[in-house]
Formats: sequence, structure tokens, C-alpha cells
Amino acid sequence: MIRDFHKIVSNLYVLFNDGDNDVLYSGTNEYGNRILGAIVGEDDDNNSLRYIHFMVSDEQYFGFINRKISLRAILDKNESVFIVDKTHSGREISANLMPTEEIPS
Amino acid sequence: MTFENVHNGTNCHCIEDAQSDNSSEFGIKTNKKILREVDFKSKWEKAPDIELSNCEEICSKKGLSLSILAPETFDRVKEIYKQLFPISPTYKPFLCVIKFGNDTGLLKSTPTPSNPFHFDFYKCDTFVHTQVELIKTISLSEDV
Repeated sequence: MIRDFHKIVSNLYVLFNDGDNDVLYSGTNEYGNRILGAIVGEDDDNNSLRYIHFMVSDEQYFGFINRKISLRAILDKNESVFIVDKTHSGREISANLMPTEEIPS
Repeated sequence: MTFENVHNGTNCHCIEDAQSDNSSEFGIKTNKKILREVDFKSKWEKAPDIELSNCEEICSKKGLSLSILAPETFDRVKEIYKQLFPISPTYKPFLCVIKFGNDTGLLKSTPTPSNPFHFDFYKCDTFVHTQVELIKTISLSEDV
């Protein structure tokens, strides 16, 4: 696993925010790859948020933005995704790689 | 009603122009079908170390994010929530339709480009979530 591959270090752009939490966002990792982040859960007991981070091509990204391709379709082209747990202030708690097939529909 | 908790740690006048409203119905996103104390925790309470730069941001995080519901706009508001959350797999929140009891707090209209019905709710110091009436719960993951 390449160190910090999942981590967005520049060009952070929030596509959707629900008023409290970022729901969907994109950005660039330190290797210049476009990363998409999407919320997958909120842990009220541990006061944390869970996101998936995964790499997208420009074609996939703009296809998604223009509603020509679904998030699930992009996910299914990735063998694995990063599960990233964050505090509500955005500080990363942990990041782990997970096979995409284990993500429920 | 007093709002020392809202103003704790800031000089921003967050409740300026905010009003009581015990008759309107509001929608709040929750993670369970029922209302719990955690549903009424503001971002500020959940993230005491969050970095904010101006009063607009601070007051937004001091308040709770809601949407006002009226019979003629109910379906539109529901669609705003439904379009937002099913983007992510596994995340299946709910929209609880609520009404605030007397002396629970103040509400301020804070429309956004994506949600013109958005309000911020500022809890008073004596707020308890049992003062909020749950009218109905809508799953945001159905019919999509």
C-alpha cells in the first residue's frame, strides 16, 4: 500500500454538504491522483464519521458530475477502497484498505 | 430563555434575528427512526476542535441544521434530502418531522443554494430533546 495514497492534500472541493457533514467531496493526493470521498456512516457512540476514499479518472469524475455514471459504477471498477474514519472536525482517526466487493449495495 | 452555551467561546451574535416557532413543522436528519439526544448536538458540540474563521461559519456550527416543512413544500424538501444521501452506499439516514415545544430555543432562516428551506436551530440552555415532538419519520433510502 502506498503511503497516504488515500489522503487528500490539495484541491479539496465539497460537492455536497448536508448542513453538518460533508457528504461527497473530491481532491488530489500527494501523488497527483484525483480522489473521491463519500460518507458511508456516522458513529454516534464514538462521535465519528466514516468515509470511503477511492481514486477516479477524469473521465469517471466528469461522467459522475454530469450524471452519466453512478458512484456505484465507479466503485465497482476499483478492486479496493479506503475506509477512512474522521472526527467531526475532519481529523483522520484511521484509514484501512477494503475490497470493494465487501461494500453493501 | 438564555443562550450562554451558544455564545460560549465566541463573540458572534448568533441568535440575532432568530425567533421562536412552536407551530411550524421542521425536518431534521437522524441516523435512527427515533429522536435521541445526540440528534440535537450541534457540530460545535461534536467537534470542539473545529477551526472556523468567521461568524457566519461559527453560528452555522453552533446551530442545528433543519428544514422548514409546509404542506406545499414538503415533497420538495423530502427530495432535497433524498437526492443528497442515497449517493453513498450503506448510509441510510432518516428525516424526522418535528415540532418544537415552548422554551426550547430559537430558529433562524438560513437558506442555501441547494436548500432554500434551510434553518438553524439554537438550543436554549435548558433544552432537553424530550421537549421536541416527533410527528413522523421518513426513510431517506426508500423509493430511490
